[in-house]
Amino acid sequence: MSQGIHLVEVEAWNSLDTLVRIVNTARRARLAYREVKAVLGPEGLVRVLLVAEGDDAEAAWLAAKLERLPEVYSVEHRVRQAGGELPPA
Amino acid sequence: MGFFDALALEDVEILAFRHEQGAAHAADAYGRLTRRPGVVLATSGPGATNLVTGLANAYFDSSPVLAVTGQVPTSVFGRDAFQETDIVGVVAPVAKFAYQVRRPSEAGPALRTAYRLAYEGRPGPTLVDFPRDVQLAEYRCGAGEHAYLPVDFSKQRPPRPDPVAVRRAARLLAYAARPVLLVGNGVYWSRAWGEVLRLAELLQAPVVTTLPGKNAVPASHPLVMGPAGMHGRLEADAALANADVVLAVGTRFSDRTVGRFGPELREKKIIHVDLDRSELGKNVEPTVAIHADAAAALRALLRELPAVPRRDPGFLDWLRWIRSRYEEAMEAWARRLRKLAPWKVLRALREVAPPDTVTVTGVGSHQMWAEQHWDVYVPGTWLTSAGLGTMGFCLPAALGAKAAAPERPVLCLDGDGSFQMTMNNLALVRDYNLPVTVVVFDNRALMLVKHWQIYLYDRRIVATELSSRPDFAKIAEAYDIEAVRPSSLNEVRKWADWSIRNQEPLLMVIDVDSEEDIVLPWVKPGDWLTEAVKPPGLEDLDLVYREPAAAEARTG
Repeated sequence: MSQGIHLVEVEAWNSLDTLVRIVNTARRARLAYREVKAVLGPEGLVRVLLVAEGDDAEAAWLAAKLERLPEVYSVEHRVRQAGGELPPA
Repeated sequence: MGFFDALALEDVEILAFRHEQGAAHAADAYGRLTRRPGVVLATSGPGATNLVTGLANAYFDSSPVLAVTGQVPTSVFGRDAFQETDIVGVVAPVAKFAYQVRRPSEAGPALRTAYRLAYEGRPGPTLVDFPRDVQLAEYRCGAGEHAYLPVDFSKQRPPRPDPVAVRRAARLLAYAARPVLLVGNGVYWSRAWGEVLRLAELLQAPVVTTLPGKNAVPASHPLVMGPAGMHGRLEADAALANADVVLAVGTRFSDRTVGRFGPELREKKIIHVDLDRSELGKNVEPTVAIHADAAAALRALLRELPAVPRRDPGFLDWLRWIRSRYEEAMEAWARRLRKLAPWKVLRALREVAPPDTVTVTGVGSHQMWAEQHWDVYVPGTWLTSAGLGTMGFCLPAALGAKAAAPERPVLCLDGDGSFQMTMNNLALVRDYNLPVTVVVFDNRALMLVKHWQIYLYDRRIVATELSSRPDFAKIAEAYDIEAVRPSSLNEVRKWADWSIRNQEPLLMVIDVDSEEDIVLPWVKPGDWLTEAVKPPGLEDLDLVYREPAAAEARTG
């Protein structure tokens, strides 16, 4: 199992309610969260950034679970291996 | 109240269940049977929270349900007003979609969106919450109103199967020594049973199912071995355990199906087909993952597999030999029991129930006996609570099924513990003319848990034995329903036939001895399928396929 720092960026609709659903999903992933940021925009848009440490497959599971929420428009998952740099967004 | 009032004006029929959980299970069953969302309505606060178990059940079994809940007026949000509950927050983890309507202009788009999302793609429950002031507001739909909320419906449509993955999968299957098809309920939703059977025939491969996957293929097909898993059939456990290539279609690889996830499973080549990408690799890392609708993926595989090398029939012969020994052992076991054997009762019921009878189960030992011994002949006629394992599912789900298909017999196979959780819904049988046949396997215990206490907790029986109260016949009588307690299989057949033929509701209580009601085979939690505890008389049966030894055992 490959371990890394994972950056999962989510763009979605329905503001705080979707933020709750994203967090609900995230807390079921076996990852150690280091940072969660949310920015709420007009028309219910919400951008969420999750930074977590853990197994690559687990983070991939999280990204796939988030992707299937109907309110989610896009999910981007990037990995930084131990000692490496995070690729630019 | 505003919502109900509007429905009355529109002449919409409403079935008033005696508890919201029952209404949610009924909507779930309606959805599974018709493939259209069953709609359940509840008031705010406790009405809404009582739905949660039913919605979670629909979520775990991928069933289309639309829940509409009342809510306190927006002016008192957050003030802990009478019956204020954040139901959208409560159901967020167990709903496919949940939305609170804040303005009257959102009502139409929200309901259309939630209804459509409930059945498109992988089905699931959705919820729309209506504050009282929004319900009562006057609003005329304008020309500029959006039809739907701004969600991305395109992701509900699965992609076409990746041809490279399909070619790899076809190659694995063509050259497999013992390929096995593992069928989940995704096959039912995709209507892919024809493709499953064609592929199985082409490959001469056994088909095993999950517990909900029983719903997806006819048990009468000679290649269908039945369900595998914790309380699966021996020939199905043996098939899955000894496969070198597994084609798994529309299943999440539940621990209840495979026993444990490794190392035995990791040694196999797994081809996993699912329309939900998040299922691929979730529990088992596949050799080939195909993100697609089941029928489309199987048709693509069939196109890639024009000719398959002929296989040695030894493996199939061995599985059929296990089946025959298993059946003989169950017959012998039944003869030794003091009371009616549950599996013999199921067989007797199956003899008189027409093939298209909708069969619903509760949760408990009766469900596991039904998993092993109830043959599903027509896909779509088996409704059970699999993922969540919700006791109390049977009766209200049977009523929902009867409302959806009044012309078909509906049989509810329940246990006494499960039945007592929702039996208040018997009131609907006469109120709305929903004549279902209810069979309660009465062992006065929460038997599956007691079973674990006997085997895994040194027989310390805690909170799983129930008293002789209530008298189920009197309960039935209170609701104006005929009740019987048959003492022979002939009486079982006679009364079931009477109920089904005459469309008369019936409560049949089967007296089961809780000391003898141990469901075997049983794969203990964490064990592998070949380590199943077998029924009496089969202790010598080895579920590991060893080719020459297997042939020798069969020929005696």
